[in-house]
Amino acid sequence: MTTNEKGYVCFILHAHLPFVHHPESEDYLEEQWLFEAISETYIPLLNNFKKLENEKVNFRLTMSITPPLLSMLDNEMLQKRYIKYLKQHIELSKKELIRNKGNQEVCKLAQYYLDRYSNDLHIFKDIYNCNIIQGFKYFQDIGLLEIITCGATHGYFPILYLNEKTIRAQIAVGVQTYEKYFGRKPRGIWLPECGYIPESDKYLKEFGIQYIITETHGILYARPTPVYGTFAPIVSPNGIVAFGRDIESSRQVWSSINGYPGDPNYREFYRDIGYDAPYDYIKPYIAHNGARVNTQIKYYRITGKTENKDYYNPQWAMDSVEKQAGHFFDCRQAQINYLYSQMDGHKPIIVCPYDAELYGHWWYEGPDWLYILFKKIYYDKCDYKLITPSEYIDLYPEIQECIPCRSSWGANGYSEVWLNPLNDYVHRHYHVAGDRMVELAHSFPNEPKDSLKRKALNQCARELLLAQSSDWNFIITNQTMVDYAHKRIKDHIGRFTKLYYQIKNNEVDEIFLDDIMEKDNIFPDIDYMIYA
Amino acid sequence: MPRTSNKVKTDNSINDINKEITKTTNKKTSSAKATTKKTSAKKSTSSKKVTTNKATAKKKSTSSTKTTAKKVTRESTKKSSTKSTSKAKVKNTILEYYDLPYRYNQTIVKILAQTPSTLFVYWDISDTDRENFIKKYGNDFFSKTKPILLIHNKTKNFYYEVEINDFANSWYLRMQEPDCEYELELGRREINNTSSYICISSSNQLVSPNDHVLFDETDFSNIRFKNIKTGFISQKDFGSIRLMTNIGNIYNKKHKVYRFYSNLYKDEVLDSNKFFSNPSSSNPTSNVF
Repeated sequence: MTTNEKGYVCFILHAHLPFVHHPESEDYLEEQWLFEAISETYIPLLNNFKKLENEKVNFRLTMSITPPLLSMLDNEMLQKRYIKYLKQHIELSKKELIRNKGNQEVCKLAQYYLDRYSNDLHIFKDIYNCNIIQGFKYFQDIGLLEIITCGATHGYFPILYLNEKTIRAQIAVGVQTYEKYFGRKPRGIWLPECGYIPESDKYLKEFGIQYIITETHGILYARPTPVYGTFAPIVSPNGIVAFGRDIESSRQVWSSINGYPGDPNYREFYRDIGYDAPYDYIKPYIAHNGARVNTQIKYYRITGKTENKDYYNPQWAMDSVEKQAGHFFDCRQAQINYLYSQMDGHKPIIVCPYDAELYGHWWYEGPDWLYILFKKIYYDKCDYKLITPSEYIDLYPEIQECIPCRSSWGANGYSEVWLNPLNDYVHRHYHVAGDRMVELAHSFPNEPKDSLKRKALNQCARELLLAQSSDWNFIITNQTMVDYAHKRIKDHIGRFTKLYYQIKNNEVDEIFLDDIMEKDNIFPDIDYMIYA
Repeated sequence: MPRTSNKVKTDNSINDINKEITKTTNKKTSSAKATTKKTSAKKSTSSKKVTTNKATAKKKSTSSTKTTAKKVTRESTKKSSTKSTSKAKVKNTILEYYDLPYRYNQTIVKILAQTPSTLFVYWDISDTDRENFIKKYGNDFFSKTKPILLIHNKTKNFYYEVEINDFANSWYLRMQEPDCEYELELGRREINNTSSYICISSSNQLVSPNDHVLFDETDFSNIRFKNIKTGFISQKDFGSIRLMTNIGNIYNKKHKVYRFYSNLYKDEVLDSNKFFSNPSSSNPTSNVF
């Protein structure tokens, strides 16, 4: 426990999934992104927060929970489907106990999954009443967690900003959604993909945002040069405080070569009974069309660079977690002591932002690593404390004034992931739809409440926002679920355009409108006049 | 952050009827994509594809009862019949099919920054503007002139131009100068008389990102701080602070920043090649553990 700390470590987990909601069919595999993330990341995080709270560990963590994710977590249909997902996994784990009767090691693991999914079901239904947002809100309300918001649908500002009204709307709806769920205003925002452009500052300011997170060079390449590098925030001329990602701590966790998640004792992501089990046996638990997919029941550990994987041993994995938490803890100690000696009494902040889903989904043991680390920082002798960005700027409001550099946290630091020959055809559609939305808001201002036109105009705003998710372009670049990403762009631009003409021609088809409102039912309280 | 775990998953999600529709959708997109997506490397693809695409486009516009536009009418192809599918519970589900329009028939030039050294530009000339140019300059206006992009670096105040071609509707431009304000013009020059120039349309203005530490232009003896609670501004002298002297001239270019960080983090193995390729979720390299 520390009293005279020399610096701070600020963990930020960015929790985001694109809005996937298909009342018309249960066959969309993409829906499982949410279910996997709840079981592997969100519930384990909440469980560990609870453990820390019970053990009176005064930790600090910052999380952005994006509006699409909040909307999905709050969606009754998806909650029901998640319960169904859990029940299927419980059933499958039970079958696994029988199928692997002779193999004690696998049986133990099958029992482990059975316990885990049963526990998820209990926690989800009985503790959180099917809505885990309440869990995160609780930890924010007792001061351990700071939740920040994000762009409404994770639209990438450095591309959308050609029409500034569209980024203003992304920010406005992001803030409104946050207020709806957390009953207060957000102090910070996670810029989608850390995509920073100075043009967004005035809108961030307008909606009361105090701070943002940028990629390392968002700070290092700022104008003028920040004297403390990424180890202190900077403030833009418009008054937005920017924190930059620390390179060293990022690398330790993220690196594909020597990052923590690659430890041989950790669970192997790419071996799954969805692929390994006999086809007829596993068929009810894989894709509806019979394609083998991940079930998230995995029995092997990474082992090493070999195809012959050994069985996963949760105890060994926990040993590695302990070891690596110790390593991270020591590295921060050395880093902060060195920086403190160089910064003329100024206390450095080490900003460690990660995708939340890395913890648990990709790196299965990640939530436990955080738990051990937070406990260590609280109880062991060290010269630093955990802090949130808000606490830091409250303590140290005197900040160097600089213009952060246009940047993102995508490959190579700029916009290549979202703008390249694979996906560049999309942007003209975004820009035209954005312009048209602004045109609609100007042509049909303040339509009466409950009027059909207003209903249609609000749906136009939803369709535009959904089309703008940076996820679609990311998926196209990554060449993973490309068909789905193309479909989503076409659907939302298509629905938007169809409505645009119907509104202009005063011939809104209500049956069509009701249908797409049911499918794309994000942001029920949206007001299209944000585009005026 | 959509995960790549589902590499093998295909969009096998839709019921039988919808499957049919998706199939056609996919076919149509790929042909549309081929025409929309042209980089400077691939200049030639085209005239054929453009025409075939237009042809299909016309075929597709089943409901072209609108009077105004020609090709734009099919922006939203409406095939919304109200069949009830087998999956849907009692309720009628509207079957939808959409494709992105090939063009919007607007005269437009837009630039975006892909990186500090690459700008992406896309453009279109509306049919009306085309006709107006023909009216003004003669029937052979488009055949006796060639299209160019005139690039204006407003920060450094110089112009240069890049010749493009009439089959492209977008281009990637290599830029020498990062951190500059740019504006572009789409224009045409006569093939036989290159001194004649006609502007078609100009672009939005854009500032390209910076790609290096601005150490040289920063006056460290006069650093401005703002108290964000009180608004109080103070100036501080950082000329003698050790962190900065350590950073010094090494804090200048990309590889030098790397060296600086290597010094700082002696125990860590940093990969200099991938130094600026941060392994976030948005970076495909991070997904291979």
